Amino acid sequence: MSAIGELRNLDKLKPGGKLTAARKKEERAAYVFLLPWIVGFIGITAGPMLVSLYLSFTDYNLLQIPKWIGIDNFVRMLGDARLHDSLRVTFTYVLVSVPIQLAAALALAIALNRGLRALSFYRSIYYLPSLLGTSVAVAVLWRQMFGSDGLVNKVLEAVGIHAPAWISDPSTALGTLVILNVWTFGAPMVIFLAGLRQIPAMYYEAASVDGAGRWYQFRKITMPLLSPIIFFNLVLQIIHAFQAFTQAFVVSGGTGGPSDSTMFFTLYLYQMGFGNFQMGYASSMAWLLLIIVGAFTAVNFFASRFWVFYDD
Amino acid sequence: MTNSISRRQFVGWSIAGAGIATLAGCSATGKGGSGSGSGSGTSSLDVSWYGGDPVHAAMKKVLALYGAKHAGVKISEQHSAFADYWDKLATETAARDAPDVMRMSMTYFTDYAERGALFDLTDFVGKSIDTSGMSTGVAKSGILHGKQYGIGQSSIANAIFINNELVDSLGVAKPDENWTWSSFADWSKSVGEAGGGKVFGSGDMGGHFEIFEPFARQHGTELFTSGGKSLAVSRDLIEEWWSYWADMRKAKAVPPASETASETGFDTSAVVKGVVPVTFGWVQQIQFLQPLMKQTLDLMVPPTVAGGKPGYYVDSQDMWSVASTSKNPDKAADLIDFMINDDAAIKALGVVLGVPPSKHATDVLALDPSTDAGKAVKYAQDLSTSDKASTPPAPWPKGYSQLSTLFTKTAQDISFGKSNPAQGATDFYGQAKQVLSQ
Repeated sequence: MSAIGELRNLDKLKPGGKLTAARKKEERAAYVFLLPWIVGFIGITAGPMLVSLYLSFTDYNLLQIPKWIGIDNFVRMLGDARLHDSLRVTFTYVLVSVPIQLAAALALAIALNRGLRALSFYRSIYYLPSLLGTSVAVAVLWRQMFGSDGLVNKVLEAVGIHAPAWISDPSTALGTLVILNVWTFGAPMVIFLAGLRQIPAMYYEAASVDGAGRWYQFRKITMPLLSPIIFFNLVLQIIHAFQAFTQAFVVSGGTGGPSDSTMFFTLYLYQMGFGNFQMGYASSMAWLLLIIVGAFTAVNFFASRFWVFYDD
Repeated sequence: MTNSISRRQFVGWSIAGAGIATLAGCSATGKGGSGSGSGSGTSSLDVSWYGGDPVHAAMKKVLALYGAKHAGVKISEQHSAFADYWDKLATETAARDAPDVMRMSMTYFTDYAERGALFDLTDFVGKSIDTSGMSTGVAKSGILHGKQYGIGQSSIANAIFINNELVDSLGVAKPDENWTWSSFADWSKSVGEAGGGKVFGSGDMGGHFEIFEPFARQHGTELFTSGGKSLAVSRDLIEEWWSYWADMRKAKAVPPASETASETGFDTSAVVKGVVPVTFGWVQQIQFLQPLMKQTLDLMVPPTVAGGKPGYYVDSQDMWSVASTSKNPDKAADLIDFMINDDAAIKALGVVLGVPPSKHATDVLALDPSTDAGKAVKYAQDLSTSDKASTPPAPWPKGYSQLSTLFTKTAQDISFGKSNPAQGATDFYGQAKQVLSQ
C-alpha cells in the first residue's frame, strides 16, 4: 500500500479512544517531526494573518500605535475609486489570462501526448517559463521587449509596422502582462499531461472501432475524463492570477501606470501599506482579496458539480 | 483504476493546499534586520541612506573618515535605492529600530516628523551642529512646527536642462533666458514644427507636481495651507495647468502621451533620447543626465508668469535626521555636523548628494563652472539671489507622496484621453482633500 493509502487509514482511528503507551510515544514523535512545520505555520502564516485581521480594523500608519476604528476601512473601500479601478484591472487580468493560459496548456499537452520522440525534452522546455514567469528577471525582460524601442517593435518595424510603446500605453499595457501570464502555461500543461496519460487507451480504441472521429473522441472521452484535472488547474490558476504582483510592479516601475492600467489590486495594496503609511487599510484590502479568492473558489466548486465528472 | 487515492480526493487536497498558500501570500511581511547592539565603553550608530552607487561609495569614505577620528563610535551602515529605502525604513520604524542617523527626503519628511519618528534637533543647532554657513532657505528646510527635525544636506532647485546643439541643428533660435510660460509654449511649438514629428519642444511636465508648485507660487498661492491640512491652490489653477499641457500636446510642442509615459528613469528620458531639447528637473540631475548623452546640456531657469510673483526657490529636500528612538542622539548630531562641515568629509562627498548646502562647502570644493557639478553649483547660487526666486515653501505635508502619484496618474488620464483638464482638476481636488485630511 502506498504512503497515501496509509494516510487514508488515519481516518479510521477513532478520536478519544484509549491509546497504548507505545501509541502515545509514537504520537509524541509525530509532533516532534511536525514541529518545524507547526512553528513555521504559526510564526509565518497564522500569526501574521491574525495580526493583519486585527490591523484591518485599525488606523495604522506603521509609525504610531494602531487605533481601533471598527469597520471604517471596509466602508472606505466602497468610495475608493482607485481601488475599484484596481479590482477591474485584476478581474480583467484573471478572467482573460487564465482561460487562454489553460487552453494553451491543454492544446500543448494533447500535442505532446501524441507520443513525441523527445517528450521529456519538450516537456522541460515548455515548463521552463512557469519557473521563470513570476521572477523579477523575466519581468525586466518583458519591459525591454515591449518598450518603445523593444524587441517586439524592432521586429514589427522590420516588416513596416510602426507600433506603439506597448507598456506605456494604457490600452495595451495590461495586455503585455496577460501575455506574460499565458506564457507560463507550463505548470498546468504538465498536470494536463499527467491526466491525459491516465485515460485508458482502450476507450479511444473502442470509439475508433465505432467510427468516432478525433473531435468527437475529444469531446466525449478526453474532456469528461480530464474534467477533474481541468477543474483543478482552473481553481489553482485563478488563485495564482489574483496574487500576481511582481510582473505589474516591475513592468510599471512600481506605479501601476500608465494611468493605473496595470494597477493590480495587490500593487495598490502594497502602495497603500508601504508608500502611503496606511497599513490598516492595506490589511483590510488583503482580507478583501482573501474573501474574493475564497468566493471564486467556492463558486468554482459549486459549478463543478455540473461539469466535472469523476469516474471512480 | 487501482490508485489508492481517488481523483476527487486529490483535487480536494490540492486545493486545500493552494488555499493555505494564498493565505500565506496575503500575510507575508518581512523586516530587514539591523544590528544596534552597543559594545562596552563604546557607543554605536546605525547610519542609513538612499542613493546609487556613487552615493554609497562616497558615504562609506565619509564614515571611514569619521570612524578614524572617533575610535569609541562603532558605525554600522545600510543603504538602498530610493524606492526600496522607504519600505525598509517604515518597517524598522514600526519595530522601533530605526537607524540613528538617516537620510530623509522632503517627500516623506512630514510623514515621519509629525508621527513622532524623528528626534527634535533644535537644541543641537548652533551648538554641536553648525548650520551658520547655509543659506536661510537651506538651513530652515528641516523645520516643522518650529522644531528642527532635519538638517539640510544639499541645496536643490528646479531647473531646465537644455540641449542647445539640438536646438541649433533644427534651425530654431535659442530661447530668451527670461522666458514666460507663454513664450516658452511658443518656442516649444516652433521646435515641434521644425522637428517634424520626430523632435518636440519640451518634456511634458503636466504630471510633475514639483513643477506645478512654482507655477502655483508664481500665481500667488502656495500648494498647501499652512499646517498642510488642505490645498491652498485653487481647482481652477490646476485645470489651467493641465489645459496648458494639453494645448502643448496638441501643438506637438511636447511628445505624445505614450512617449512621455515611457520615461521611467534618466536613461529613458526624452531629452537623453534626443526626442526633446528641453526638460525640467532638479538642478543636480544634470550630473546624471549628461553622462548619458553626447551633446552638451546647459541649465536655464524655467519659465515665469508675466507680471507674476517669484515662484522658484533654493532649499534642501534631502536631510539628515535622527530617529526619536536613538540611544545616542548627541553622537548622531556630532556625525551630522561632521558630514556637513568637515573639509575632508565635504571633499569625500563632493556633489553626490546634490549641490553642497553651504557656501563654505562650495568654496572647499572650488568646482570648475564648466563641469556638470560646477554648473549646478553656480545655478543654485545665482538663482538664490535672483528675483525669480523667493522664500521656500513650508515642508511638504503628510501624504505628499500619495498626492504626487495621484497628480501624475490624473495627468496621464488626461493625456491618454480618459479624462480632460476640467474633470481631472475636479477629481484631483476632491481626492487631495481626502488625502490631506487623513
